Amino acid sequence: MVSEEILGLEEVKAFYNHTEILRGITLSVMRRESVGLMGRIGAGKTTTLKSILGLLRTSGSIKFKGKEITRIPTFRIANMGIGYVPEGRKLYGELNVNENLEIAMAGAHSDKEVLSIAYDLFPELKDKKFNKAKLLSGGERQMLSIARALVGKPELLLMDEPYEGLAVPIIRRLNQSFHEIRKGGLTIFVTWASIKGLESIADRIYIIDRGRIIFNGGVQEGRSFASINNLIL
Amino acid sequence: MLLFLVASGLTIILSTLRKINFAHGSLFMLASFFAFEFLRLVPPTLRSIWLAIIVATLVVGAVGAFIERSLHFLGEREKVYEILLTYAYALIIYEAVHMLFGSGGKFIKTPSYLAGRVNIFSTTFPVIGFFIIVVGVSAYVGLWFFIYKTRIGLLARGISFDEETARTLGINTNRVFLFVFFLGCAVTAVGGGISGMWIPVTPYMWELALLQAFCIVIIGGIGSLGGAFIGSIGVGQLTSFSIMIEPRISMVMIFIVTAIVLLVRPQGIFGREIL
Repeated sequence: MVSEEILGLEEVKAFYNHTEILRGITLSVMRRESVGLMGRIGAGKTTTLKSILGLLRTSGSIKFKGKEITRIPTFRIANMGIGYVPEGRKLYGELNVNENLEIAMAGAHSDKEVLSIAYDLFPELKDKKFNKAKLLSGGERQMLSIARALVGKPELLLMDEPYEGLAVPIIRRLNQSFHEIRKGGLTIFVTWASIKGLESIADRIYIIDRGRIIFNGGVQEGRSFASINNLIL
Repeated sequence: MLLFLVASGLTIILSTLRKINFAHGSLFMLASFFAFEFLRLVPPTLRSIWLAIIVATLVVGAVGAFIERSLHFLGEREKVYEILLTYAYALIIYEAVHMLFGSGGKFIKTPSYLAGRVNIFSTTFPVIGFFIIVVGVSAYVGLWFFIYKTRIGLLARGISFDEETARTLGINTNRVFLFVFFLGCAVTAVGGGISGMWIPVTPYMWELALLQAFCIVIIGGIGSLGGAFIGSIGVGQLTSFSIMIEPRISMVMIFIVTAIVLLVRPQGIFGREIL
């Protein structure tokens, strides 16, 4: 059951130096929804997520829980309730699993009980608590990246291509976890490079191309739209 | 061990913040002068070397915090701007001290309980020398504990790998940077405050302190506290050995070793690659 808007972007433009990457994005995500943002490589998916987090220079309006966040520092945006699972995981490879989670705990001012929540969700990580993150497998690293984002008890989880480079059994395993996470009421906004696989995660999708939103609707309609418009997704 | 106090501060700042601070030697010198002048100017009841060192540490730490904020203002500009700005600070501090306090060497009066000598295996050693070793070793243990056993040390290590990710995890990286820079300068300032009991306090001491600190950090390994510790012992021993052979070549020998390390193993003996 969806209710109020938790994330709203209105005419958002984003820049890398002086190059305009997003050309006026407008989209919204309702509480408890799982929304996909799809597009080709270079379309502006990662840029959209980074704009929400305040990592890039932007214009336009970005609201989280009704509050304007475009001029707020990134760490404050994160502490307002936005978790982030970046593309490529961006783990601290030289630190162990526990330390990676403890850094997130420190940032979120969470207490130690969140560690048990993370290990309950991904028991595979429990046995590897003191292993350096760089020694984990690809699937384990992605689990750690997700667990790290969840440690802050976010209300909105931004995920950038979470299944990239992972084997099918790992993807199925992570899908299970997503369903668990969603049961807890978490809202998800996930970027994806292709339609395939998104059906199991997203309730609806946006399609982005060259910095503009060109479609907003269900996953199947999105598939048809992409096919008609020769978008290779 | 005085070298370690300077080098350890520099290595913490370099490895965590990735900032090159050419004013580091000047902060060491400034702390020495502060301690000296504090003892000269305060009423006798406050005339304590330990109070002087504490005050000098706080003042120099605050100067370090100012330097850090101004480097932050530079943003993502090329490293050369960082080097130029901090070198400018080094010269400003040197000239200010030179103008205010003159160029003559001064000694800080050693407390009577540190002033004597001890006899070990038929050789006498100054007590103050042992004291400096104790301070150096304590600083090493204290910094190791801070980096590996405290929450802020963990944050500093994380941020040194990837600052942007740290921000997305809700960490106020500016605050961590400020604290680490303050700490790095404060450790150096402790060395500066103590040094006046061992070597003459002059405005020129900043250059030698800076050069030797950079050599130690490069040889021992950027980002390695243990490397800075061993490097400072190594550089100290090399200096003593060179002086015995020919005093004029002591600094040259250190630079030759530094150059060899840079060519053969740029991350230093114990350091990690800065990616």
